[in-house]
Amino acid sequence: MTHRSFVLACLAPLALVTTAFFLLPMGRLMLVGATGPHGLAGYLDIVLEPRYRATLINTVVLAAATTLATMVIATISGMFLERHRFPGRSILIAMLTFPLAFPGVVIGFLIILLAGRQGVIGDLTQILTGEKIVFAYSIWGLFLGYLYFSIPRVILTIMAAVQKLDPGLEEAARSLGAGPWAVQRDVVLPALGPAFVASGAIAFATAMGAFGTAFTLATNIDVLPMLIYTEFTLAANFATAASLSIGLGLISWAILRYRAHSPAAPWRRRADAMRDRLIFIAQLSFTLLVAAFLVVPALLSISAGITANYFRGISSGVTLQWVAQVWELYADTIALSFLIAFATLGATLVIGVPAAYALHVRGGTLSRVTEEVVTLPLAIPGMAIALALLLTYGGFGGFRRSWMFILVGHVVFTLPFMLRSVMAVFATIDVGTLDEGAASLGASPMRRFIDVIVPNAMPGIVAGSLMVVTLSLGEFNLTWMLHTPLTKTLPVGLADSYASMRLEVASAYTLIFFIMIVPLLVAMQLVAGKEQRA
Amino acid sequence: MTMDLGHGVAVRIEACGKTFADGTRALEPATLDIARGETLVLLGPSGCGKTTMLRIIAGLETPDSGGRVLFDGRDVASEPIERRNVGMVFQSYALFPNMSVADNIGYGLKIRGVSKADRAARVAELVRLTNIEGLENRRIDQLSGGQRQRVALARAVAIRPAVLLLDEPLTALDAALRERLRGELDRLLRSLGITTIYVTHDQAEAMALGDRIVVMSKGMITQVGTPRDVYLRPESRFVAEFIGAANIVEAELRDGRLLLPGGILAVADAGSRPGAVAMIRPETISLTAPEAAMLSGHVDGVSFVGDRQRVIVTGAAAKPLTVDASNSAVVRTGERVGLTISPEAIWLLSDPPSNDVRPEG
Ligand SMILES: Nc1ncnc2c1ncn2[C@@H]1O[C@H](COP(=O)(O)OP(=O)(O)OP(=O)(O)O)[C@@H](O)[C@H]1O
Ligand SMILES: [Mg+2]
Repeated sequence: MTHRSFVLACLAPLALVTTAFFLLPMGRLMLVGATGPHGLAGYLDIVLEPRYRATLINTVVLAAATTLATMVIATISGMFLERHRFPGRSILIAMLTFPLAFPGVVIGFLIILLAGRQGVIGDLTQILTGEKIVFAYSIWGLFLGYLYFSIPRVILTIMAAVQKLDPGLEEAARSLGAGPWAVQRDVVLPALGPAFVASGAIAFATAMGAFGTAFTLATNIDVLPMLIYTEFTLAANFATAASLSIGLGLISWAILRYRAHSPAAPWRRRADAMRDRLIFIAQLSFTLLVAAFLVVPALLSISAGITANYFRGISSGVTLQWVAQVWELYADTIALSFLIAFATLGATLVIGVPAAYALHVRGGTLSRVTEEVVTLPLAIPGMAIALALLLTYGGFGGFRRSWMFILVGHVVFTLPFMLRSVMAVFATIDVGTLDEGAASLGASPMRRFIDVIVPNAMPGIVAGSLMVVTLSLGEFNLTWMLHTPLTKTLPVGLADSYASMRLEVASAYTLIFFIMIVPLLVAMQLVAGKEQRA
Repeated sequence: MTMDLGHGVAVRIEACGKTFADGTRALEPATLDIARGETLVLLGPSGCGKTTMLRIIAGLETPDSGGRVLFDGRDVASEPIERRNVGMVFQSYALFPNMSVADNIGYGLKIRGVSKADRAARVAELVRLTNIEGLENRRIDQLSGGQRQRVALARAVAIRPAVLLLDEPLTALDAALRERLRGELDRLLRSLGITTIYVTHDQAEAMALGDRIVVMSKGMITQVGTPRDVYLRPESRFVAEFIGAANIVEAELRDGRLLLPGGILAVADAGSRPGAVAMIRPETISLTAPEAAMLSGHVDGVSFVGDRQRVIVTGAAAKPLTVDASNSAVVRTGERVGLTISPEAIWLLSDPPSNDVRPEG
């Protein structure tokens, strides 16, 4: 086999899966969007119909507010953490980043524990002011939930960017006479511009498409994903659901696209005072507060899961009865989740690793376009992908009813992560030359791939694998739409229990989810840390 | 020593040009013969197409249609690099980070199905030959630049290649190490007797290693010859100036004499023409008393460079002349000096004179 045909063979599985389970369904979705009473004009309803327009505006405002707040919080804490070394720093970082892979449903539940009817904020305000403040089920609850899942991501991006800054840049600026203040303003913050834009875009796009949190809070908050969900499942209004999904997908995609081309954003000066002792303490307190916001609800949930009666408090006794009950009721969802997660991993490895190699060595416009298309699911809300799959393959009863249907959704959703992770490694190790080196020694393309390419891509493959398993285990947006009563995964079960079980059972179930997901997150951080040191 | 001689082949490149997909014309169609066991150096400034030519021979690029690469008369167009049996040393070395030093060196043999024991013996032999004893089990990232270079060479040679191809293998190293490795490389290549094609932009390296040098410029071969040829008898002004330091003197040639502003110079050619272009190497000019010479000028500057001093003399020719004087001579700026050059040391080039030449008054 020549090298050319080997590279093409590497791309074949990717092309097949992407076409069948992403491009085709998305095309179908677009068509369905135009089958309403107004035909193609149905697409305009998103902005013309007052109810839809209000929802759209609501969603955009909420996402923008989330992004802004997250950026401010994460910049203060992220720069602070990367710039200072103090005891307990790594624990603080771990606390700030562990909610990284919590699905929206779980976050919704945590917000309820924080600000719901039985929440701590309610209890505290009751004691302090005599009036119980409950806002979990309002737009504020949703805002808090979005903050909860945006903060870890953005903090990580900003910390990585600060760390990658070439110290030579700062030194050069200082050698040219720039004071610490001017260095921050003219060198550091502009250099971080792309990271700000990138993480802001991600925060915005995720907030636009998030569904799980709103779903758990089960309020009448009008945001686009909820609207799509109700139009589709309750009103069986397929055309509207489809056109709204396309609209939502386009907005998210455009935002994420913009990120790739935006120049360094100008940024206001702030960091000059960082040396100041007072500011150090202020920043530390602020960061501790943020960490508390992330950790306290999780701790509440854990304690609730092992408390005999949450309403009466921990004094009612510690018990494993709820955990046992969850195990009895939901053991099969846990097993199915693992089955799907590992099948997803297998598929993304087989499809993603060769494809990443092929896309890297081929280069050129076609590869760039392919990469763009394949990573689209990153930008398109799971809701839209699920809808597209349902509209295309819903009619294939056997397939629709089996767990394979969910698997397909997970593969489409996680493939970009595997691809990106492996390609990132390829970008740093000059695989092209290694490949040529092995070729000059007589190795066939296949042999080269096995002996040289894969072993050297290992860090990316491991990181990608952990990511895929973690995401698959926690995936809700797609899975909720694709599941059947007989194919429930863990997050689907969680949503079930949040809706119908007593708080202790829901908490115990959440606890089990934490136990499963936290080791994966820790492993992911370790791998990332090892990469950075290397 | 049981080292067997390489199985070198004669290589012929026939009308090989290369136009890249984006339209870049990297190489004009060129024909070149490399004898069995010969070391040929491709020399030229950055971007002149050296790597492209090497990659065509390796089979990593295909020449434009009409071009052929022949190994011992056999067209290898249909053979991808993995079947051409070429040893290649990359500028970045391309050592496999996932394998130890020994595994890197033995990889080509493993691919060829050589038994473990034979492989170990061969690896040991190369480790000895390239002076990297004791490093066999190291990881690649635990090696210094010079050690990596040796591993890369050992790995390429281990497969007993038909042709050894080296792309600027010493460029990543510092000057002193480069010089030492150049000597080692020269001895090794001679003892192996493999046909070798060596790319460099360093003219000192080219002259030290090459049996013949191919000087390239802008995708074209401008001269092929022994180091002595290209240095002493360059065919063009480009070659003269690219290799070593050269004074290019443009003047009228009358009956075997160059008429210069500061006097006259006898040359070996008895002809006459208005615009002759001559090359004079700085080390062939000697400084004498002004009265004793047919040509004289003023010292404009002296720089001491250790083994000699570089003297700039104005007024002798239209442009300042560079002269290499012994480091013990006493030369003062502003002083008038005579210049003596033997007629054989003046090499007339066929290039036309540049039109900005104005005789000084
Ligand atoms: N894949 C490619 N596509 C387009 N142009 C190329 C490609 N590879 C090389 N070139 C161009 O071809 C010309 C010759 O390149 P080549 O790499 O052969 O130069 P070189 O003599 O090896 O230079 P250097 O000493 O800098 O390595 C250059 O102008 C280069 O930009
Ligand atoms: Mg080159």
